[in-house]
Amino acid sequence: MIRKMMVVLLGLALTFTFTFSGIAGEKGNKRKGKYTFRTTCRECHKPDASAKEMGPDSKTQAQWETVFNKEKGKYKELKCYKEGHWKDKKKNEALTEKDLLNIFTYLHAHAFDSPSPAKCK
Amino acid sequence: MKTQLAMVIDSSSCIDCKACMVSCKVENKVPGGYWRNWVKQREPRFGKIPGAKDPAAQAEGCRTWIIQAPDFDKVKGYGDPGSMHFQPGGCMHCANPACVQACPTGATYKDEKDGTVRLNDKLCIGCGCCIPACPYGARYRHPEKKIVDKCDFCAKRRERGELPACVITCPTKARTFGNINDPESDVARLVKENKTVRVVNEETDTEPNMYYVLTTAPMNWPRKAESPTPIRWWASLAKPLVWAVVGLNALGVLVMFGKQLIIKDEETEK
Amino acid sequence: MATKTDTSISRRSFLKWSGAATAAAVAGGQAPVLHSLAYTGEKSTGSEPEYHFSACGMCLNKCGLVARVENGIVTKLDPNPKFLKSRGMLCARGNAGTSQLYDPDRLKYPLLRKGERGEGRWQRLSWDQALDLAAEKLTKIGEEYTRCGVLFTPGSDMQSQFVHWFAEVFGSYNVTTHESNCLLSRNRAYLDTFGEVPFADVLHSKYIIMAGANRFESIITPDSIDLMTAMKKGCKLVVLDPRFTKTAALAHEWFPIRPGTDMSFFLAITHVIIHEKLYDEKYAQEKLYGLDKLTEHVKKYSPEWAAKVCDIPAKDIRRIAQELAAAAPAAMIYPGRRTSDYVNSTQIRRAMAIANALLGNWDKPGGLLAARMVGTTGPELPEAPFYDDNPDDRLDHGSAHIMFDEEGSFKHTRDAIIAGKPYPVKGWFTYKINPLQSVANRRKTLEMIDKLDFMLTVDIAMSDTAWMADLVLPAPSYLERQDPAAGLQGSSACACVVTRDPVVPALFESKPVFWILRELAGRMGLEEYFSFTMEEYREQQLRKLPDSERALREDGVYYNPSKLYGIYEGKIYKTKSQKIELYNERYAEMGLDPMPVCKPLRENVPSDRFRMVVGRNAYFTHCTTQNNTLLNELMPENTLWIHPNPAKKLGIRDGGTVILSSKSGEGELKAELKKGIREDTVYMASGFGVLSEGLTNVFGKGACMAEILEDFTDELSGNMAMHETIVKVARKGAS
Repeated sequence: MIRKMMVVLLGLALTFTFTFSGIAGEKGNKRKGKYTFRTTCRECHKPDASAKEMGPDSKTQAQWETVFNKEKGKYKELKCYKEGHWKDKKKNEALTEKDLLNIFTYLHAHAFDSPSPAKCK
Repeated sequence: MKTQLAMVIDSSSCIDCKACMVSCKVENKVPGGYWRNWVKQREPRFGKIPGAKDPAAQAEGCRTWIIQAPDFDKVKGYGDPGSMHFQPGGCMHCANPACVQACPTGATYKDEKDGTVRLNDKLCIGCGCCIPACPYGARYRHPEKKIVDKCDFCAKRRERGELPACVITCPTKARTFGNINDPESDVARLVKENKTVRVVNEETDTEPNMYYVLTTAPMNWPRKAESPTPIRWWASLAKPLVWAVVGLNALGVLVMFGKQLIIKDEETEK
Repeated sequence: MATKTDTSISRRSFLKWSGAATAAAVAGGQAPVLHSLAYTGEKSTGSEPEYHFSACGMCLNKCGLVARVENGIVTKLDPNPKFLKSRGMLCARGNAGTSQLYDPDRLKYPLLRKGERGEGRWQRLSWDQALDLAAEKLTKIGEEYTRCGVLFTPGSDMQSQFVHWFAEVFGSYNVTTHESNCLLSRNRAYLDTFGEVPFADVLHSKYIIMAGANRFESIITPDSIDLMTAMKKGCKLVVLDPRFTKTAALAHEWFPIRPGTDMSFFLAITHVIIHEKLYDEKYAQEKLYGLDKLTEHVKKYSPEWAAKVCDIPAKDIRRIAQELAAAAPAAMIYPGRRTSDYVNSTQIRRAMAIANALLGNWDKPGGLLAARMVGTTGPELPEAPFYDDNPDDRLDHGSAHIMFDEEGSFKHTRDAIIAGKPYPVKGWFTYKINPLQSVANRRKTLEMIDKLDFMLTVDIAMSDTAWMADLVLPAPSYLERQDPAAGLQGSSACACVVTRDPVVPALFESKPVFWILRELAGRMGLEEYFSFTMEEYREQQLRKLPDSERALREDGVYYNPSKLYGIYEGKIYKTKSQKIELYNERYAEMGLDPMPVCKPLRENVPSDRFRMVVGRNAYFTHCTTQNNTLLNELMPENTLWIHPNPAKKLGIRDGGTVILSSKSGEGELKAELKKGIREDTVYMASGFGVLSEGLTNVFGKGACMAEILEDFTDELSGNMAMHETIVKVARKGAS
């Protein structure tokens, strides 16, 4: 049993390191991430809105990793990011690194090829 | 040609879900404990089956046994005596109905218009002579109405142009219904295109209007129609009389008389 | 556009479509126009009946129906002949819907528990009293233990989505449904092989192996009906089941497999297909991932090896593999549904999925179909709030290897509530679900309820779950409600939409759960999230289907003519490798078996014990319809199926009472001696041995499945494992 647990933990650890070549070294909160994604991004990325419809299953886990990579994260090149749309609407402040980590965790957990793919519904 | 409503059943399609029984029960307000229709079954025979393809189980030391139904493409029907078989049924609306002969009041009659075996509730005295007369056990004494109830191929539904309740609801459409004398009907087509069998007791072939496609099982369950001797002469004598009396609007008296007489007869029979 | 659909149908149009439609809908359709045959005698008196479309709610299939109403009473439910998904049928349960509506055992008004739990002493409350109390209790738990301190458990119902929505806006992640007692391991296995959960194209299949499924008794539309139609067209059916089900009875071949060893059979099938090169090599190269590894992996899993494990002769395994491959791609291992049976169920189903992959049947006629476009749209609702004080995750998070985030695991949630860790949960909201009867280890569920401050149940009748609650609120049946639209996938039959409007007004004081939740939201400062009406909600759902309103009104169903086959042409699979994964990379990364490895059973059956298996019959929906008067007559109590040989040894006669016991509990029921069950296995139907005295037809009858079953779970998905229980059977009175 203990051996089995070790294997699982090792497995989880591996997934973790694998995942977090992403934005930061700590664990994000995917539920908070969902909330932040919805309140920040959804207005433009929902169906029939101004930008392309976007949800966790719009990309694979690897693609989300590329988008949110800390050093060369593609998100910084995104038009909406550059134009300053990535902000907390209530506080009118730019999203923090923690917020981005949460969003990444949410999108990654439900990506196209994830164990539980999901739309942003 | 006269209309004869009939049912053609492909019992090899029956999955024994009992939808037809519940549908009938709701439509006809059949009380708990009673049914107007049924699904019978032949129990399977386990173990080595003569003629089965490969009863090789024991040879390899496996505790297994195989039931093989015949291949559908070679089917002569589910005739394999080893396999389980479900058989939907109900009143067979016979061409030569023993229940009609047994009825002392003429309450049970063969409908001229559509060939169904019907019951006139107002004339039925609940004597129950028709019950042992039916080889199929298709009649039951209704506990509240005090009549002997039976299937009427959903007469009220037919008035509205709807199929009988058991037919429309069947998941695998094992029951087909229509006028067997109309060559264009589905039932006539099925009977024409397939070999069919009828489940009968050889001693009393009442010429049922229920056809089973290819073959069916079990076959041995209908009983010999029984109609007490006194009833036979009473029936032949009394029926014209009953009709006359109905005309004279004095049914009640006769019914009382008949009831007494019949109850006596039943007792002597026992 | 108003989407309120007036479902009443004039008699004239009813006749019109009932005539035209059946021929199209029903295979080998018979013309139901009977005017020429109509009985022309005495006409019945009374007013003309009215007809209303609805969708059956007796199980999850939602079969289209036509309800006949006479003088305000629903007198008959008939199939909607235009409803293709059910192939225009209504089963015994569907026909018994009137008996649910007019059940004297129905809950009539809100009830508050007065005595001890399970004592059955209740006080009648007004709706205002009941709702005020519920709002107060839920708010208090939320404040004291965070919002995640309330567990929500909705059943499979067209209004259950509002329970999910309420949980979300209230702020609890702890939502479990029936799924972790049912099909999560199958979903896991197919997602992790094909990237999505398939629908089986039974109708066009030429060869079907059915293992761990009983489609002729456990009715799933259109599969159950299509299976018979397919067999009539020459499809061969092979059934593996430790008991002789009606599906086994009608199959071409039945093998009473040793329970829990299905993986060995399918690995051997794979062995034969690979080593005899019976697969399409070009297809394999293009679509499959890890064939080389699999080839090596299944080398040792020969039919001769499997025969010793699963009790099926090697030559039959080999022959079946060859026949299956010859019929491919119109051949399948039926994926099944309830797969909550063993601790390695996901891996068992993976073995089946892998065999399917080798048949090349994905996205092809007679094979496994991808989800089709239905076209309903999620309504635009206000953004749910986020509660910063909430814990990071669900209560059961991380308790199995790869769980479904939205489903979790009932078993692990229950364990966590009993332990009070990682955080306390003190409230439980259940809607039309009966875990006291359906979830293994009833004693643990009772223990969990003991830990709660407040339990609220919304249901139609006094289920065992309602019987244990603090507050019981009466819901109407499906015939008395207005419901949202529901998009349905019907394999090759259709992708369609149905909805419901009340056929008759709600009886007694019953109120739909949507209304209850809206009232609660209003009392808890959440009214902005429930400010929509059902009409508005439905309008949003159907906004992209302009023709749906007319179709629902005129036909009772809307069809989306979306693409059926070849959906994946030119598309990648939703897996890590973007191919069909024979070898699962994620499993490998996680230290799990990337390909199914056949291991010894968790526990072998000692010679004086039995393995208990459970399963459906065509009369009962899990643990919900046993008390229905019409259905109860078909099976008034459950029995224990036991083979005559062991019965003889134990002195058990047919119909005699036996005591059945396991490590989790015991029960008394009558024995039914059956040759159609393995000597090492016993079986019983679910839903009896009830606690609730409010179920007058079944109270005191039979034994309770949940009492006997031990609560093992599938290691990968956290799904319940209901066939892991070893039981003792004794004649009552035997020493």
